[in-house]
Amino acid sequence: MNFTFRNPEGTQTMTPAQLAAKVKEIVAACPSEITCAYRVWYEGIEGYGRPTAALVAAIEEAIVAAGGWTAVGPRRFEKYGAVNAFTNDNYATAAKEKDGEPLVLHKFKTGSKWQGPDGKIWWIPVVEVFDMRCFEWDGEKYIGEMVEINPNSDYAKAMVEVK
Amino acid sequence: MKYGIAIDSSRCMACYACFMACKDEHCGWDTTVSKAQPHMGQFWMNIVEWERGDNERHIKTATVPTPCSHCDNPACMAAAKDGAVYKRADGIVIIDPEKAKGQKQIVEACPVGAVYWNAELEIPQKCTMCAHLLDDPEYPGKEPRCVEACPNQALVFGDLDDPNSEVSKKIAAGKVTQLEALGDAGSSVVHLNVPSAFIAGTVFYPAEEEEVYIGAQVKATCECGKVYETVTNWAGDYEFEDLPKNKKFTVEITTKDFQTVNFDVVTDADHYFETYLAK
Amino acid sequence: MAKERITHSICVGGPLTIHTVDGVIRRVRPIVLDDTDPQGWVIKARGKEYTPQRKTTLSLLGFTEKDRTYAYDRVKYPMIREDFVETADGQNRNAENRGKSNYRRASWDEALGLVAREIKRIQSTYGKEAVTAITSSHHSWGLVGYKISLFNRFFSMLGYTRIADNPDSWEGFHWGTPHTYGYYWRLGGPEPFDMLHDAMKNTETMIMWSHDPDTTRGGYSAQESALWRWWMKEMGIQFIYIDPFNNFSSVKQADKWIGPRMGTDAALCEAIAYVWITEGTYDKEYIAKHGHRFDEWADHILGKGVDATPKTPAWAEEITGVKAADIKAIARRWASTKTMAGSGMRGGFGGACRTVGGTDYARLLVSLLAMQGMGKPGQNMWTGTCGAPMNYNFWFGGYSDPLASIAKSPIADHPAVNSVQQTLYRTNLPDAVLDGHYEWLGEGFCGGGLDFEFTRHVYPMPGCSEVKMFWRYGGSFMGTMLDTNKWVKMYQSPKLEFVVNQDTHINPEGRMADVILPACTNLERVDIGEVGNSGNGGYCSHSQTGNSWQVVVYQDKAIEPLWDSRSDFWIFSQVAARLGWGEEFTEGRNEEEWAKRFYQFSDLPKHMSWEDFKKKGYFIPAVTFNEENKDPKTGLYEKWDEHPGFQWFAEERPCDTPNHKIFQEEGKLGTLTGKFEFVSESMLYWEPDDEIRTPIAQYKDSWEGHKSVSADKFPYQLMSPHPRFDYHTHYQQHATWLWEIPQNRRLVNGNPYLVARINPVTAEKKGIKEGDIVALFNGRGTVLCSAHITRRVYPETIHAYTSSGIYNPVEYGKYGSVDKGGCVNVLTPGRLMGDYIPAMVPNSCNIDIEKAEADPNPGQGFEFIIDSLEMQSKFRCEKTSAEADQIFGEKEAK
Repeated sequence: MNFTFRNPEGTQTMTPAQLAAKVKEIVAACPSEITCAYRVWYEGIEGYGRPTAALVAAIEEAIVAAGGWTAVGPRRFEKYGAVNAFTNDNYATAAKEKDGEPLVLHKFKTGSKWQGPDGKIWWIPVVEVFDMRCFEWDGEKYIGEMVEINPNSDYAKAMVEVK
Repeated sequence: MKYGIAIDSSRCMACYACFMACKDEHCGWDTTVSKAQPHMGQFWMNIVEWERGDNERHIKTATVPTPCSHCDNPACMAAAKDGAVYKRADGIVIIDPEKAKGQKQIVEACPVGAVYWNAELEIPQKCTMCAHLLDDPEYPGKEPRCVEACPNQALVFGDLDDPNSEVSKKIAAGKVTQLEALGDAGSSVVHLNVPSAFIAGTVFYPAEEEEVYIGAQVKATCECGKVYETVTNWAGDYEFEDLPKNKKFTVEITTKDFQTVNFDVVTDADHYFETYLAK
Repeated sequence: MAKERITHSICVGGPLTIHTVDGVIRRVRPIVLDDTDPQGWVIKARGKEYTPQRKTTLSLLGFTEKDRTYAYDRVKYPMIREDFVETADGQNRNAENRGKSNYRRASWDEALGLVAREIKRIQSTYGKEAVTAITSSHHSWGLVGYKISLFNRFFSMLGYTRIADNPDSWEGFHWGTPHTYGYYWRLGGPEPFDMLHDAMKNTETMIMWSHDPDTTRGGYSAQESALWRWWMKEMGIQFIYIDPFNNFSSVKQADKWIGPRMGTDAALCEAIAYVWITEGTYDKEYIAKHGHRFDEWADHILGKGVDATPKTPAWAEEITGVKAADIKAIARRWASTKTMAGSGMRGGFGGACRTVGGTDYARLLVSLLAMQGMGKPGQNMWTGTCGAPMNYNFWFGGYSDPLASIAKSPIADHPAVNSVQQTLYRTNLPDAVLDGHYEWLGEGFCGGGLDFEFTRHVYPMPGCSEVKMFWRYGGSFMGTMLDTNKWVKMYQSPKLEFVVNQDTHINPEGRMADVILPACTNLERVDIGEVGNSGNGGYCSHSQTGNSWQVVVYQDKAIEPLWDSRSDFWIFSQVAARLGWGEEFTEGRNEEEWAKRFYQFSDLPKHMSWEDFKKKGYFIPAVTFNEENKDPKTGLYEKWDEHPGFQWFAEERPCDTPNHKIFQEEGKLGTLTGKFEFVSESMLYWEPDDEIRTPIAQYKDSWEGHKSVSADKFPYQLMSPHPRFDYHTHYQQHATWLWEIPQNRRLVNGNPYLVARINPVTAEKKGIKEGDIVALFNGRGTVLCSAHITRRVYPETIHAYTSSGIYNPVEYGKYGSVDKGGCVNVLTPGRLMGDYIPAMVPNSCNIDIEKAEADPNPGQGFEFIIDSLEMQSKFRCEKTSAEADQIFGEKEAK
């Protein structure tokens, strides 16, 4: 069954294989840790209107088929609510900058924990391009006062994420 | 040394910060030079406001913060008995609350209505330019409360005798518009840029075109001979501001492609005209 | 001079320097900077240098803080309603007399004991959710005492039905613009960062739409930005004001004012778009790259859409009353010059967005900005408030910052978590309580995601009890919510078995309570805060850029609590102790120790010791100068760390502004497509059938407006924007000096009547003269005002400010009684904007007006509020509650 829909290029008709190829292209260029069929549809295909259930199912299938993405079931997205999500298997090693500009939130996600070269573990509740606000973590809770770490500093570059 | 305040009406947005700061300082508290101002009813820093314009399309307001002018030759001082009103060496005019008791004529003598009658204490009261603060070496502020409160630099305080003081510079840069009631008499409070009258308008193409006319030449000729010229702006608007009051003006609107329009107007008040051009 | 003690504090009117003499407040002043404070930023633009004055500013409200503290209407003692009976089952308590009955003075022990017993009884009988509570915003300032902190800690630990706030000041932007350009996490508002510098360098035209900056003052930023706008005016930038009221900024500053009919701004936007599309004067390249479904929208504008109506300037003239010629002139000026435009207070506010067409207007305004290349130098969404240079690396908690609350970590060792899921919605609280059932969509503030706008709520939640106890804390919603006669009805319902009011002053809602708890003001207790700072990640993050200086203040106690008032912290700890969790609530800290926690968890310790901070009272961080940019001649720095709002998007680079989202790093907006959506995909995704908030934003006739059925009976439109002479409802009733401003109120028979502005044509038709008492009325109520005849409104519009702190019905406690307090919110519609949009729309309000008589009764309708003048003079030097007893004790203690 072919899919007919509209996007900025006009009315499109795609075979499932053409759709899968398009989705593969889109997810390959996606720098995020997580995506979903709706994100592929709106940001990638730039489709007009809410996709049909069949189209969503086909895109979801294509995301998995594209490789490098794992289905993790429903997750909440701020834009779409709780929908089926897929995580990026290669996210940890992906580049975290664009045209030399840092993508700090891609690297240091809000609320994540990182270990510095001095062995200290940091909990990072605030991440901005120009600074991060961190607390030392003792394994159960944070301790001490708020510490500022520049995300582009050598110290930050040497930090390793603690899961 | 002559303390003075320059009050620039063009910068005043009637935010009432000076008004409130004055009440905060003087209501309910005696000072070294004055008795407490009653909680309500007196306005040592009064904001005089009027609406300008006769057409909804062009309305402005004039707002003039009006404290005691601290005149060079105060009428209140002349009217006072027993030296109840005195002028200090620094120019500040003070009503002595003890000596002025019962002297209601001091209120009536003021040409700008800046003196108020305290019925309970039976004394006339007015702005002291916060002399009690200026006199106090321990007080951390350096200005009268109204001036410190002004967010917009509409009120500037300093030494009028020093040509390099901020207040002297402000006066030199502005247009002095002494309160009408004071005439040419000098005072330590100097009003700047109080507006007089405007002639304004919008020039349109013929009504069916639904277009404003940009770039029309507008000339206003005063009966006194003075000529004012401008061109209509991006909105088709023109404005002659601060014209001499109560003069007859002839306005002429000239364009390349339409008939010239002429009309007479008297600057008894602020006037606005809509002009639709015709072939 | 007498030895004066100087301390500091913060109010919504700005930062305060407070002088006290022998424990009595002598005066309040702005902060005048000293030599230890840093150099200010210097903006070099068009051949001149601009730097802020070395003082902070206060609005007129700030200067009334002393008046407000010693006000005649302070709650002086704990009070219990005279005919309140503590029945075992909560019934037969004479609830119908709330608002009518008198009070008797009680001891703290009696009042707190009663409150604790009632909480226990109600929660053990009905469940925790049977208690509900709400506060106004900012009747006090400070990170310890603010509602998201202290109030939140107490009620979360108790467990209660939370009442969600609606975004009452910017409804149309909150519920609208996320569907056009995202920014749901900024609650629909733009990024103002460093826009002052950008505008002064580049901008030629400022469009101030539904905006009166001298009145709304950037929110909590005193008069800080007034001078910026004069600088811009004096450098020749053209100011265009669009507002049905030729407002206080406009009459002083506008090069052009146009006054569209209330609620028709969307049509004006569409006509401007029509001019640009037909004349080809929009940024086609930008739209091609960043716009989504622009062509369909353009077809709609050109009349090729389903309605087949070209949105020509002549079409808009018919709807808005604005001449087509003016519309074209403004459209061309906007397109041909570098233009900043925005709406209301901080760019995403304004009365126009609080109409039925508010979301359409807000979305269309953003669409217009997109068409002119939003984010390019000098072209942005900005209104001349906020956006001063700031120190991006100086971290101090703001009032809605997730990391700056005593209810949460890290400030609290043990965060407080509310165990109750049930919620209520503020706008319709009376409906929910009275009907016992209410349903609505959305979370109130939907910063957490677009999906938050569409969550379904039912009250009572299945399995939950209705609320039985209402704890009202600070301020009055009579003057800020809509159709507020309903609140009287709610309070008089026996369904509310117990009502507590905790406040500094006897506000209109205070008179409806069973128990009134006297809280002291900010000036009588310790707190800590930064002026205007909403916080990082909180509401409109980093709003301290509305100030020329960032000012962190140790809000020292200037005087001891007056009469029997106590700090809110003390009151809540006492109740917590009686409920058995006092220690857990305080964690052993007093207020100063809590305040110190905020200091510790900030960058302040790097600059100043706690002792020095307490002693000096404030700290001002410098903007981040780069040593390389120091001018050797002047010693001034020319550059500082800048992160201009939205320029990252126009320049297609990762977002570098604060409070950013992960997708912004990919160059995307917060819409589903990441672009400007001219046809909203999120509306099609979530609620495609909504007839109010349509996928294409467009002008629609309002269900209450110039064309609605009620216009036959009530042909005038009431415009009630945010007030110039009040803040929320926190000053007008208390600070009587405000009543002496003739543009605010006029005293007739001892009553301060609110000014209503009417056009001379209306006045003549109705036989009204300047200063006459007039009745504003419709089917919902009647309000007496003082008529001010002015050409600043067109004949169809009547202007009277909202947020009257005074609600003073002729017959107190009677539903629907004529109000002489100027509380025009009894006239505004209680209906939500639409079935799918839980927004209130105060500016879609039809009324009629007639000449009326003043109420001959000089009183304030409440016998505890006796003659204000007499009280004021006696309070002036009031020091102790014992002395107060001598004056007032007899009368009040009974």
